[in-house]
Amino acid sequence: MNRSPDYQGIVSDRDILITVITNIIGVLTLTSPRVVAEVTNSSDGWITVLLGGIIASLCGWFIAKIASSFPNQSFLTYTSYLLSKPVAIVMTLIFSLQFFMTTVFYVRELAALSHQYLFDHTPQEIISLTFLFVVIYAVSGSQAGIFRLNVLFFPILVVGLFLVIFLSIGLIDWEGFLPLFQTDFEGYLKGTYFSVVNMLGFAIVFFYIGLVKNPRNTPKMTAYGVLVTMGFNLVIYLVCVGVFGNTTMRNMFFPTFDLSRTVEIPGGFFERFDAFLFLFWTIIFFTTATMALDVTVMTLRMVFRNFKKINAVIMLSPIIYFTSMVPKSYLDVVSFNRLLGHFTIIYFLLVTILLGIAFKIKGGNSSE
Amino acid sequence: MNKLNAMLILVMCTLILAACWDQIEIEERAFIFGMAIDAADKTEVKLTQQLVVPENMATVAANAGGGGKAYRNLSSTGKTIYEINLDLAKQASRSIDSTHLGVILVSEDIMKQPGRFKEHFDVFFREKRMRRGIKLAVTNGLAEDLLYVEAEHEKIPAEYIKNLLENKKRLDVTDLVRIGDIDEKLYEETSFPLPYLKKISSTVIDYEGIAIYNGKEERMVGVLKGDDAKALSYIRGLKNNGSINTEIDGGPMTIEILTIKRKITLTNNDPNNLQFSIKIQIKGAIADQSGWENLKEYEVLNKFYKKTSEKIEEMVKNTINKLQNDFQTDAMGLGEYLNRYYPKIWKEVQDEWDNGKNYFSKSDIDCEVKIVIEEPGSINKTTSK
Repeated sequence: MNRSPDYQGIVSDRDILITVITNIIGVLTLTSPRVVAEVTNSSDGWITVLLGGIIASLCGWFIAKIASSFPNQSFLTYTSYLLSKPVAIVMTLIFSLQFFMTTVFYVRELAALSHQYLFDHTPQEIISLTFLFVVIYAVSGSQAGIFRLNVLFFPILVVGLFLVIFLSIGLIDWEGFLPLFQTDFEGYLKGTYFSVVNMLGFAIVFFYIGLVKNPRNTPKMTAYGVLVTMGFNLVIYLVCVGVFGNTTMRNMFFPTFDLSRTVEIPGGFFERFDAFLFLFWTIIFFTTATMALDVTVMTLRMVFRNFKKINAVIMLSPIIYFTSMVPKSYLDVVSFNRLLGHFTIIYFLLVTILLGIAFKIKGGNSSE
Repeated sequence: MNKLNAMLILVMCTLILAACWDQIEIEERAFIFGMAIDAADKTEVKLTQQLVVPENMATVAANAGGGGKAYRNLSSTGKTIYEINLDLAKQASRSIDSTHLGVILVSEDIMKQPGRFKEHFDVFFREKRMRRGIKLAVTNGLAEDLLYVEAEHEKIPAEYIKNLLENKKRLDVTDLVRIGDIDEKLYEETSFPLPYLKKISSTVIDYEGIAIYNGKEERMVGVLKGDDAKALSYIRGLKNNGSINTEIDGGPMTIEILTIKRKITLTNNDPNNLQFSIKIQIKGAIADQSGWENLKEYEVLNKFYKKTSEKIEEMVKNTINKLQNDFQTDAMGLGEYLNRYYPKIWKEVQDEWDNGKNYFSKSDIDCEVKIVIEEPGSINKTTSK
């Protein structure tokens, strides 16, 4: 691989932990309480969020284990070793496509959301473009910069989530959690499925572990990262159920965002708190979109080695922009996201299982 | 080449960053604080909006002589609230901003026509600028009249009404005033109580009672007034303070209520003959007595307990009777209780809970009041008799 000298070992275990958290918390955090509530009754969704989180963290641990058995090797290199070169190339390219689509979705969703809650007249096209420019700027530099940004934004993210949660606690109807355990088996199954889809963001460790200098603890860190995120999701879900109740929540498009609209802080200036939280959500979208684009570029460059990074970014960005403008109505965006979710989880499981089996047979190769 | 790139980027920046499409200077915004919805005719509604006039809000000493009203009421009629709102924006000659909307008043007239309240209320949940903390009240007579009531201490009538609805020192009020709470009830078609306001004079508005809204019939079925309204608060376990008056040995007595706790249990779970028992526990303090009762005696205290709990029981029974027979509407939250604790029974009865077969009216509701007086006040008695 032609790597620049600073390519290896730029990421620490702590960075992986934070990156996993910031990558999972994204647009889906806004909608997931609703998606879970749609298939469960009353407040039973907490079980599915918990189960989903545990499954996701096991998966995360497992793929990080595989990836970290090949320290400082790229995804393409170790999958070629495990599953032969042509398979590895196809796999990598499908991942590029998937992360490309994720970026597209984020670029569009940010515009749609800010249009829904903030702006009346500003065209979505302009909001998307501006957002995309910032994402491109972050991606076109060194990857170390992205990790720095993640670490930098992490406290903001935590503070923002805590604000959403704590300010709403007073509005919770504690009896609203009853009755317990009213969902049938199918509901739990579906709910768990959606919870896992919601947390698939940890799949980035497939690609980023290659950058960790000494990835002995990385699997553990990945699992912790997923578990921490699951904790946030669980609390957000419970607060949403407590404040809105199951039926109202099914009826809302972005329950987590509506939570911040429900909060009222006395005093004129902060009476409307949602505008400030929008800032925080934008940052969250930004980190996820940045990483998605970065992985797209990274996977593409694994296959097409002679591509310069900046050229790849500049070639991709107009395609991202135009693709993001393809969906016309909000429903198109929603179905696009649903398809992307299904695709992501199926493909992810396929890759994990294939790699897992091959890894069992061939074993790791720590010294190339 | 680099310079050219930099130039290009700068040019792009000016394009993107120069103007904000949604920029509206704060001076050009007209903030709505209150809205009143009245029926104009069978299909159209009349919407009155109370806009703030910020110039007249500040109380500057030098400005003592001048200064007009701090509010401006505009109204128009139309088919939907949103459409009227756009119409009013033209009249206002400013851009109307509903982000600080605090109160929505709906006239009795609209509430009593089946389905009308619901069909006009969608916009308040959907519109992005609406908060779920907006307060909702039903008015006796025209709703817009209340937006003209100028209390001496508040410059804006809508603010006055909002504070009135937030009052926690009385019992003949409801706990449900936020539209966020009502969203859920409307969606699930459960019945609920709403504050019922009346214009008393040109400077005073007060609660007339509690309006009862039937979720299945989608209309307001009646009003509980006075003691009935208070009794509903006991049943719902309102977290307010209040008072209760009785007579003891021919003299008046008032007990200040500190906390109310309510507990419902289901004693018979045959859907056709549900039996509920409501236990109400009240903690109170003696606020006022005839003057000659010796509060140091247990005997006297027990007499107080007995009298007040009898009085409350009577009030509560009266109200239950009214809700079951006159209104046939469960505003007590029994359906909610069943849903939460006995989901299986609720599934059987929920479709005809307070309409049709009306399981609610058929059920037996028993109530028991327990009262504890925690504080006697500073003195024992006023006369030494």
